[in-house]
Amino acid sequence: MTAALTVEDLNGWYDDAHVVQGVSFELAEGKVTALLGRNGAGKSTILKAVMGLLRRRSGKVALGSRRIDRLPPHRVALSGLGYIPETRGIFPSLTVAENLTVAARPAADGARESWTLARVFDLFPRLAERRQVGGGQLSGGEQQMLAIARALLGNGRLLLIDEPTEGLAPAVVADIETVLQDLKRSGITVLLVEQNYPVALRLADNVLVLGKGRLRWAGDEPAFRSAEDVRQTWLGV
Amino acid sequence: MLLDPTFLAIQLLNGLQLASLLFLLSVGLSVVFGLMNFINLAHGTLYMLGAYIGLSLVRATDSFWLAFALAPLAVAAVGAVFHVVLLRRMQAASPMRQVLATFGLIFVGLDSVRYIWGDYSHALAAPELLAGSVQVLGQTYPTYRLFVIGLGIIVLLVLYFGLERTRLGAIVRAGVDDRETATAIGLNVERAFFLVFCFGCALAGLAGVVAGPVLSIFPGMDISILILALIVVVVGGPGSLKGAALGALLVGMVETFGQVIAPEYASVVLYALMALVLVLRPGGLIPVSKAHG
Ligand SMILES: Nc1ncnc2c1ncn2[C@@H]1O[C@H](COP(=O)(O)OP(=O)(O)OP(=O)(O)O)[C@@H](O)[C@H]1O
Ligand SMILES: [Mg+2]
Repeated sequence: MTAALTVEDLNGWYDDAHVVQGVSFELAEGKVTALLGRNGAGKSTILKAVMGLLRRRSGKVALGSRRIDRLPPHRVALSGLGYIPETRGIFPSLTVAENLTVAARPAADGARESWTLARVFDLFPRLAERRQVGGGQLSGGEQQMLAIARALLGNGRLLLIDEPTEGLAPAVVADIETVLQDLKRSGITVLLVEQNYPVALRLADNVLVLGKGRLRWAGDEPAFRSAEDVRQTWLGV
Repeated sequence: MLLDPTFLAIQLLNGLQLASLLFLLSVGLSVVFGLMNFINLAHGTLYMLGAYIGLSLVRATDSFWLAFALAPLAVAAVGAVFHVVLLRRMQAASPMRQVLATFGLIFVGLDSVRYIWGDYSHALAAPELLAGSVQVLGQTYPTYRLFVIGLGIIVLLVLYFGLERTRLGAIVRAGVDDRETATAIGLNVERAFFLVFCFGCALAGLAGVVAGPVLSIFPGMDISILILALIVVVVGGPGSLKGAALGALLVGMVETFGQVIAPEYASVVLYALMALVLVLRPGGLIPVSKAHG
């Protein structure tokens, strides 16, 4: 079976800083893969490189069997990647409803049940209540929900989620985790960057460990739990 | 004289009329400057081109309204070529190089216009429907000028609703808020900005045709109004639609009243206004980061 996403020898730079160095991995279809690493390891940069957001990068990225590394970012998104940036990227001059509808697209393959505004509001009743409010007036948790909802409405085959629980109160973290568990059960493929390791490991099927711009370890979640040396060297836990 | 209500009313209308033209001209300038970080000094040239193309169309077809409809399209097409050939390549260039390149284009425009239409001024007649005048507090006032005011208001409303209520408007607002995220969720921000740019060029062309019957058409008509339009953009806040409208209103009024009350000080007052705004609110009266649209 081909992987949902294949990344081969990915490199990414900020000006002259070589931040992602020859990273290769595969995401298994329908699984959650956690990408772990210390602050500054290059996790967010990998997601940006996959989305085509870096000015300078090299390497191969394929969605299924289709190369997407030459596409401009909006075409990468349209090819089936949903992206939830670390900054959440809510548009303050759009209402909550507009933030969602501007990104909404029908699913490319008619087979799956596609995400609609109604389904998204079922998943996040709070957003339905706040639909006419400006995007700049949301709390951190609401912004995160909106960013997830917006990515779902893109009806892609894969989600790239960057630190969804960062900076949120414990109760809100639990809410977000519940939603992510629901999504996992729905069978969507996810690449999850998450610094909250307990949350990450409850969600993850597979784990990638990044250190100083290079991939240091890859395996499934039970193997990661017993790879104590990896955790100590590269995550410090 | 100053307290004579008729005089005041007439000057107020003149001020609104100038504001209307300035608004049409400033929208495009403001968008390119505020959203695309590009200083396009040749924007006035597009205005002049609109006037001349309108002139030729009126002569060829004998219809002002055909010119009114087609000249903006022709100018938008010129703008599109300009975008592809120059603006895209120079987006990353330093402001100084942008200024020099587009400053050069002003002279290319002037010479082209002289070559094609001759080095003298032309007059464009107002369309028959609007050629008459109306009574304003006992004074006659040209109907055509009222039409120019009305047009400015209509364009403002169309742009406002276009920005707030259409999908293209939402993409533009998203692109202004956070361009990276907007593209990463599948929005073609570049195309949306390009369309907005062409629309701004069309409005400059429209301003040119519409100005024909009010101001005369001559090589260099672009320079004096470009300076006013630049002040509008700086005062209103680059990239903001409301800012362009407010700036145009202020500059139109100050310029009009200045010219009749104290012509020798009119431009001083205008530059003082700009300097004041720059000192107190460097982003303009309605900066784009605070109030989109
Ligand atoms: N826009 C940028 N310009 C220049 N350097 C950057 C930029 N963004 C990140 N960096 C640098 O690139 C390296 C990797 O950053 P990145 O954001 O990918 O790390 P990360 O693993 O996501 O960290 P965190 O857990 O803090 O989010 C860091 O050294 C960082 O300082
Ligand atoms: Mg990060």
